Amino acid sequence: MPRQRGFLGISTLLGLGLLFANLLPSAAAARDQLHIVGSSTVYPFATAVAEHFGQMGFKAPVVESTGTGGGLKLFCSGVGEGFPDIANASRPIKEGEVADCQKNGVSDIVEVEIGYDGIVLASASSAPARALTVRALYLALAKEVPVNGVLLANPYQFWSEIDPSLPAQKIEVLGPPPTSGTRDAFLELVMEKACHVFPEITAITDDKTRKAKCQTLREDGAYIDAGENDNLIVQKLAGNPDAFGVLGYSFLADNRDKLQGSVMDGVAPSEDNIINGSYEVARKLYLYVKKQHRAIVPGLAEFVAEFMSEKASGPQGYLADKGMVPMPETEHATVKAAVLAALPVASTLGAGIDLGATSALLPWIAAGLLLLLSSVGFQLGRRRAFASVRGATRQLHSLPGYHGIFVGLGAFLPGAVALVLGAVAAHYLPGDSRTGHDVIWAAIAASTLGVAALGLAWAQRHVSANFRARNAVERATMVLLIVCSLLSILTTVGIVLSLVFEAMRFFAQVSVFEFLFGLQWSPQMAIRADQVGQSGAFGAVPVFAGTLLITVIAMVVAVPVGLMSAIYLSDYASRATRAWAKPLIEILAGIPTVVYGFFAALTVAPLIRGFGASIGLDVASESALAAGLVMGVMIIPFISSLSDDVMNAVPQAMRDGAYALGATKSETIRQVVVPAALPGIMGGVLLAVSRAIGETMIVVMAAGLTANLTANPLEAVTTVTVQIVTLLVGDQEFDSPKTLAAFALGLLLFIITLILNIVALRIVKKYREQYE
Amino acid sequence: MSEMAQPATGIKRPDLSQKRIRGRYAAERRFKLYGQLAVGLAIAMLAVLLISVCSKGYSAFYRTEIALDVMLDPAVITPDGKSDAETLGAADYQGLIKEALKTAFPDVTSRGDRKNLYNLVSNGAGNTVRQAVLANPSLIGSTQRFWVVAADDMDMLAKGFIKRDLPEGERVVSDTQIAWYDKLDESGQLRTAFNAVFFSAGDSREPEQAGILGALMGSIFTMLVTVLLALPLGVMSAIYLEEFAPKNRITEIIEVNINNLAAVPSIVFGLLGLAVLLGVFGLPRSAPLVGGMVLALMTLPTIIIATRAALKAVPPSIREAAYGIGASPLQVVSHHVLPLATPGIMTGAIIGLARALGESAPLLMIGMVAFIVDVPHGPTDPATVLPVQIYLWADSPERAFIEKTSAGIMVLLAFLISMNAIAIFVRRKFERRW
Repeated sequence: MPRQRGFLGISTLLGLGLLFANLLPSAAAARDQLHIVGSSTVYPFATAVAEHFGQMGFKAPVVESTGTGGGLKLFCSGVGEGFPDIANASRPIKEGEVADCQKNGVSDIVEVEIGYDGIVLASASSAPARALTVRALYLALAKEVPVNGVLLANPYQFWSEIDPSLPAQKIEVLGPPPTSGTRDAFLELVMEKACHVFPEITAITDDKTRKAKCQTLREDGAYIDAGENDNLIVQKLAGNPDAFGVLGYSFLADNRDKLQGSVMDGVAPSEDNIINGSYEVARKLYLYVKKQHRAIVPGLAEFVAEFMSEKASGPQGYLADKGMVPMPETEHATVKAAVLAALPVASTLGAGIDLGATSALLPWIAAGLLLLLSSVGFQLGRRRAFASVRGATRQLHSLPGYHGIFVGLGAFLPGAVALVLGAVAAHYLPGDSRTGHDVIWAAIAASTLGVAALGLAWAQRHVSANFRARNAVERATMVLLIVCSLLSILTTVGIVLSLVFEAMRFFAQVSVFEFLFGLQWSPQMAIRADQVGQSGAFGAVPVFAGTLLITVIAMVVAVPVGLMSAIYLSDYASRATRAWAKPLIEILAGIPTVVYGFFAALTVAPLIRGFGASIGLDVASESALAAGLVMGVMIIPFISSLSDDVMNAVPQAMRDGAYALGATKSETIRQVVVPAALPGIMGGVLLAVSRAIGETMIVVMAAGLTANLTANPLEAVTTVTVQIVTLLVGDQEFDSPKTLAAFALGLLLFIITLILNIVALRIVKKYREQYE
Repeated sequence: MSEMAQPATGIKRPDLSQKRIRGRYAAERRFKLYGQLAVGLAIAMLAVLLISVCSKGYSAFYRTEIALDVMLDPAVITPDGKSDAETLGAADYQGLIKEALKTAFPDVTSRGDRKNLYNLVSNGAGNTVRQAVLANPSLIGSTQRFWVVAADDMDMLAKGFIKRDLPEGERVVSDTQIAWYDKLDESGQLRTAFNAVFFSAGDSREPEQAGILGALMGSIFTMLVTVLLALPLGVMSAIYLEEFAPKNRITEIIEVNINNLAAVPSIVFGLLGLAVLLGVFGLPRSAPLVGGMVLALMTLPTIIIATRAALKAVPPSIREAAYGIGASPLQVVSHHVLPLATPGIMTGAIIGLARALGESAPLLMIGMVAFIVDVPHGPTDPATVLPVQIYLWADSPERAFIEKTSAGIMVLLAFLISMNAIAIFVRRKFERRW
């Protein structure tokens, strides 16, 4: 019964819609586990405590790694089950963030100091041990350094130029990007401290200028923004004995076979030295606890108590094993006592509403009954159509199945509308008791079925031999199709709206002109209010140039390989070969981009660098070439599979015609098949370009963060997506121009790709030909 | 054409046809070779990637276990004489393990050494004993030999990832720990066994207790939501745009718009999800339901574009024939065009969903980049997904997470391949050439 199959298809589709509407109320059930967001530096420690906490009879908390800024933004956005309970931070909360919290009703925040994170300078263990001083580091990394009494752009290229006792190696330091709290601490603890010994600096009387001079890092390639993935830095250091890396202490502790920590001012970075304070490059880590949530989620105070217990954050605790540097015993005891006083462990549990079994089931029962009623309607309609002509179906205008679908829809559509409206209403109604919920849902279910039954009766009355059921059903289907295609417009509107407001706030602080045409991108702006005045340039041109460069490299790989693969698979390969080769190639598109990222950063980039060195070229360790090549491999299937399908669909008659004229196979393909399939191929290529522009993880890992305006594929560039991600998940305040720049970049990228697509569509339209 | 057909009388020309044909055949062979090279190159890249992943990851599928003679002390397990399941479950089995270690190495006395000694076994080792006691409470009071999970450092030592010949200062394990390890090895108290925990547990900060099941279930729920939303919606909008929409300004805007959505960086879809799905509709954070919706929005353009290309490729004669026997426009599409376009639609679904499966950036905004111990049981439970789990493991300092990372990738690829297999089956079923 093909008609019935059609009905099945439609009803499954509609049933799906109901299913999602139903998940809305069930998702609003009470939360029984803590929700923690925030810094990626605190993440490994918070998760360790969360796991122990989960073994103590509570549900293990969910710990998100969002960056300090994003975490505090979420934390401060409100009180209630939908908002996080604790924010991890690698810096103290800022006044602006506290104000934001207050505004949204988060008035009672408890600050908890949990310990220290040591920041070490590490290099490969194969390199000779090097004792550094903060002075040498300052001279090596500052953008402007004092030379003979005046501040000049940093002239040092080799360590030995700074201090003859250091080796004659090129200065190369891999470190966190400007969005990172680790970098912030590094500037504060190393650069700021070291620069005050120079009379040229202390002579500057203006506080802001002095700080800016002290804390601005050079941007000529000696300091490399290496992203937040410390393991990647470990691997890169292990393969490059010349380089130093700025890392968290835990990564040094776990990689002692690969790395050595540099002695700083005569003190080795060891746990003991960091605890007793003699190793000074360490910063505090914090938890911010929303006290108001004690009544909402069970276990909040208990979790903090576990975090502050001796066995966790104490000097011998398990967090020390995980690489956190604990507070000294006395300090820990004081902090612990203060926290326990502020957050007493109470025996009262959270008083969330426990939705009863009936309440959880009622929406499903209603949906099930509605579907049942609709299929009954289908049968009734069909029977009635048969009956109206006494089985002589030829007298019907429409096939009986259409009458059935008409009646089924007549029942379903009003019922579904009622159910969805009811679900939305129930979501916003203050259902403060279980019985209340039950009553509301019972009412919704009843009205749903009532409305559906009315609709069924109405539709059933229409069924007759002359009724144009097919036209009615087709009109309904067409409306459904139109609604679906409008969804993409809705998505676009949503995206533009979610970008545009934040972008406006950005443009209130940075001029549009500078953003659009500025040739320098260097968001080295202060993370904290008291260290104002580092340079900040928001010129988007180099970022977009980098995206373009990497995309071009990727397409140079992907288009020839993809197109030739498609041609081979569709026209040369035997059915058997095609059957296994095509799915194999498609796997390339599905390998997680994280894997490609590691592959590009750890395998391809060193290969290119080594090859370049052997022929005398200076290749950056994060060259655009490596990222572009690997990205090209990833998008091969976008071109090969889509082109293969369209070429395969070119009618055989056209090929036969070409053969009959004496063309060889390759001539047929080049002059008949490819032109005929061109619109489809172009579609695939456009999709691949889009994918390359929007790709994130590969470039985050392999392409680096330094914005160079260059067309040389051997140099490091950055892309729009990399900047968006690092800006959004950084530790800086969420409302700073640094974060808002991400939205502006997103918006600009959106506009640029829109223009490109309009142009592409025009071109495709011009050359589009319908064959046959 | 007619002039060429006339024989050129009187003029003698060298017969170049043989040479030209040889040239054309050579071009033909070259062209075919390029094709073979391209396919070979793509597959070689895949092989390189797969081999490098598998060679790093296979060792995560087995683990090192240590045999300990544990005295099941009633004073510890049933302190108040009750032997109900709750008392038995809550007892300090890890303490019993520590006692067993002390008995096995009686000469270790100092506090620091003891701590190192306890670090030989996983701090989840007590669970093995707990399960045995819960299954058979009559064991209490006796001394039993248990194979418990070794700590990750010992496991790394056994697998050779921690080199013994390095100086002690450059190793995570100390010389004494190696001596204890060797002693256990000599007395047959070490073995390697299948790492069942990896397939049955959620995430953990202890590498030897970390499992992939939580992320796998999260990915399954997320993908389910994505497929159920993206495939029907995508195919239906493609049908409308390609077959029915009048070619006017509005449809042109929609078309450009869809192409443009494909280029929007995925993290922006995450921002949209945060603002609309979490903000306006109040859906829960970290839920696969929301993740699936966001990924569906991200996948839609790919599916729409692929479906439109596939619909476009169906020859007009098929449509005309159907119209000729009186089919309505919708019947033409649903009975004839759509089945013939199915292979292309499936291709779009494969590469679109493959991307969604491997995507982690948009999930960051909606809270799925998270540490979650419990295995999710439904699309609204907090969950993470496979690529996120892989990324989080790759970012962990512990050495043992390196093999876990690669093993996680292997699981993801297995999932991907089985997901693709379904679509490929459908594609093969409908594929034809006319």
